[in-house]
Amino acid sequence: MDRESPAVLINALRFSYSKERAILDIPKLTIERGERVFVHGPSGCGKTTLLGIIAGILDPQGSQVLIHGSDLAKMRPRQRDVFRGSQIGYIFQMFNLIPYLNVLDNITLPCFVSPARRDRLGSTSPIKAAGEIASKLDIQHLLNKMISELSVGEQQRVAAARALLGAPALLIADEPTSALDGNHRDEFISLLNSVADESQATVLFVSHDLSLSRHFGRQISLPGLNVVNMISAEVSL
Amino acid sequence: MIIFKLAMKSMVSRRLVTTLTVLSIALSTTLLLIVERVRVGARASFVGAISQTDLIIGSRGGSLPLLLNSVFHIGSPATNMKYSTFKQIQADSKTAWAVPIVMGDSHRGYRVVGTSQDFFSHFQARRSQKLTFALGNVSDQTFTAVIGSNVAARLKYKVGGFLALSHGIGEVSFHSHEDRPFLITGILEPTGSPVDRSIYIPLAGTEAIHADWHDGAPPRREDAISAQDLAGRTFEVDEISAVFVGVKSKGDILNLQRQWSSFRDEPLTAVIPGVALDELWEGLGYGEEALRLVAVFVVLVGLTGMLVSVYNSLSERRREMAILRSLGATPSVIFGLLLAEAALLVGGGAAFGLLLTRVFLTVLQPMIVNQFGLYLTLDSFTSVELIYFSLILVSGVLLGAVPAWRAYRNSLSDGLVIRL
Ligand SMILES: Nc1ncnc2c1ncn2[C@@H]1O[C@H](COP(=O)(O)OP(=O)(O)OP(=O)(O)O)[C@@H](O)[C@H]1O
Ligand SMILES: [Mg+2]
Repeated sequence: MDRESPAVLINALRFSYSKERAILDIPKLTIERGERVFVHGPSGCGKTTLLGIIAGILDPQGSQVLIHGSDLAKMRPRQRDVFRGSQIGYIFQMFNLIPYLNVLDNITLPCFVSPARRDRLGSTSPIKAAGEIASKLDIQHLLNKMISELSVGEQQRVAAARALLGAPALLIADEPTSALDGNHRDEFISLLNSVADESQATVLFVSHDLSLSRHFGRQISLPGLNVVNMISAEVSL
Repeated sequence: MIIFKLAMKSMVSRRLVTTLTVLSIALSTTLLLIVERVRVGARASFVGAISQTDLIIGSRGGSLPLLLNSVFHIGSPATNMKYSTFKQIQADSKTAWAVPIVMGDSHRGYRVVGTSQDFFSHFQARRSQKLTFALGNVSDQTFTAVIGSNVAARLKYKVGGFLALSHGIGEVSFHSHEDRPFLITGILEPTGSPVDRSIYIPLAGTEAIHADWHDGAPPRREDAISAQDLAGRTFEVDEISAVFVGVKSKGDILNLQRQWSSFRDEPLTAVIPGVALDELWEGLGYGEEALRLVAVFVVLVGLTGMLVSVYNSLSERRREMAILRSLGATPSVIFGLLLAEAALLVGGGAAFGLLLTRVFLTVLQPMIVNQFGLYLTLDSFTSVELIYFSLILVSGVLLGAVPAWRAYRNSLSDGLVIRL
């Protein structure tokens, strides 16, 4: 991993699901390490698609997408999977915890899927590391519970703990607060940011709720459907 | 190993379907294995109905009727052969032992076989298993009988009891020899062969009951000789049904067969029972194949059940797969996860089936021996069973590749957009 290069560097990205139209057309986008970026835009404008490309789930279709200096376009799909496991923590809109595993197993799962993530824990066992993160998020008393026994807010913190374990350098959250009321949203985001601060992770947070943007250092908006999106033009620093 | 742990936990979370799937595979495996045991047992019972007897010699006729009649007591005896011929066979230098048998009488549906005492020391129903007595022994007295285990059990006969023979071989006979009862002196151990359903009396006994008969007809009342009178006499045997022969050297079997088939004094047929039984079984073998085919299909149905249950779970687990991928699991991990699941289901089911087979056999074996005279071996795991187990496992995993491939494709196309 190249310490100097930005967290995300996109050059001349054109992405389309079908030949007719490009969902995304981004001449240039740079996100520095440690930045807190808020991505918003109306439904269907391509927010999740952009996250999918950055996370290496969607093929960048030949465009240059450098994450921490590594070009995703030059990787094979399985290399991108391994890369994602090691570098990226992903929080889903609906937390997407695995219902048949208990809280502890859910949180430690990334360490078993990705050896690199496990290695970053060093001599600390995944279980111990999970306990530490759980106490920061105030869910340490829930470790042996099943997911179905948790409240929505608790589930959200478990999802965050899972994404944060093993200190991935890039944290991606795709509308993780949509199920919460206003107060809890703010609370959750502050918590997330403070934990991310400790590991100096970059945060990419997607929502169409503009009121949340105040928690973030920078805001990117993806305007309407079917339009070529000029992300760089919208960047407000 | 995380793959197996995840597969395990996922299956446990769907425990009802998992249990049913494992059970259906277990039951179909059990059926296959029991069919296999029955097949092997039936063949062994059939081919092992007579062993260590190298030749059966009878009057000239088909070799099949001779075999069926002398060994299985099926059909009526053909023409008899001379007792003097038996003496010559016995005296031959290549003959190790020879035992005459006389058939033609019965007792309540069970065949009565007249024979010499040598029968009990030489005849073997199964390889290296001589006839042994559960109770009593054989006697040299004329009016004595040794009965097979089935006869004793069904008719509730005991040593010291008497039985009256009837002429002919039907269940209901037109003439019974009730005036000349035979004392039961011995009951044989079960052998899983026709011996269990037979009654053995001395050669002299078969002559004695017909002593005052003329030309196959019973005597008039005033000519009848009383049993007491008969017991004191000795009887000359003129005719017998067949001879069981053991040879001194196995290399002589074919020579002896040729020699007695072309015997000058009397037209004879000589069959090698082992070979003839094998041939006969092969001829009847399509039943066996059909049975096995049905069992194989049942296993396929069981495996298809597994396929359906795994496949069905895919749609509700797409999100789960997407989560795993978001955590860095490669599509091959997803593929492996479902393959592991199929392997666990099938492996668990087949192993449980092996166990069930053992339980069934242990519980049912005594009943099967009694009811059908069929010995099912109880050896722990036969190599055939282990082969079946591996075959089931391999085909299960191969079938499991179908949903696994589907999940793999899904995980590629779904990306991370699966949401609640
Ligand atoms: N797998 C796909 N195949 C084809 N088109 C797709 C696919 N995924 C998304 N799209 C289309 O791409 C566009 C952008 O989708 P995307 O999911 O990125 O939107 P979004 O900004 O995340 O919307 P929302 O706020 O509703 O989540 C939409 O018009 C959608 O219909
Ligand atoms: Mg979206």
